[in-house]
Amino acid sequence: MMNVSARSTQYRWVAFDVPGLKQESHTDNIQNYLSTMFFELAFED
Amino acid sequence: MKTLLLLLIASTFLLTSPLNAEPPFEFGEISSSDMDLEYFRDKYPGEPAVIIGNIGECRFDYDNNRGFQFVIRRQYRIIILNEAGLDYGNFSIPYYNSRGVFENIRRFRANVFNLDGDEVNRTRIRQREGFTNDRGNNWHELTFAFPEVRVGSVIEVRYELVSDFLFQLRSWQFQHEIPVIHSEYQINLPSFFVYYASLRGFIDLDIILNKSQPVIPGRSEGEIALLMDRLMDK
Repeated sequence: MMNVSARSTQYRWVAFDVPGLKQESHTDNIQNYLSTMFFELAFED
Repeated sequence: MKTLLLLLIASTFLLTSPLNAEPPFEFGEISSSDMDLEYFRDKYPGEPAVIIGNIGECRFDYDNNRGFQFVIRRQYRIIILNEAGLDYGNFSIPYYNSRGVFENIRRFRANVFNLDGDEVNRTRIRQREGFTNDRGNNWHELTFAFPEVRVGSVIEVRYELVSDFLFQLRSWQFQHEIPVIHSEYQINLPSFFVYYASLRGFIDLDIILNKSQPVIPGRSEGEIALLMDRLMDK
């Protein structure tokens, strides 16, 4: 293992008391509606 | 005197604000009062189970053979409130393997806690007790059917997921079909990787913090200001 030093940034996201989201009769896929954070690699410097 | 008073008010505000919110549990530590079924049933009527905490920490490591990898350390605790919640005694961790690039799971630990009178009994589960399913298209999952799960059980899980797939940083699901008391995700991001982050869904996050530049340019700083305004209104 090699040590690599770099400037880094700490990000923190918190949600409290998140209500459950229930499947309803016209919901196609509940996974599409649950609150979710997505990440996409923009570039590597 | 006025300055002292202002400092006192500011420090009280900072100490009591949710910005200092600690994780809601310490892995492996529990008391009988943390397993008060009636309290949870009163607060979340009709719910099959409640996620007490779901906490992820992502960091980047460098391996001489594999280069940069991200490591997500996850801790999760749930309480089962009725028979419909017993399904949460089954736990799966999906991972992806393809042509020399891998994800793997390590340092898995899980506990099932049950109350016998005032005494808390713990059942330990280790990674070797899980089994692997092939879900197709290079996806696999490590699956567990936890023993001793019954109504009133508290289940906690901790593991690390190590991944070569830097372009596909794992998403974080804040909301589930059952209530979540505390959901938290942290990333320690080296400056040479730049990711766009986007939150999909209908909830507002209670804390959005970063110690350097915002990950979503022009957005996070405003959201922090909004949070501070909201706190000041309380």
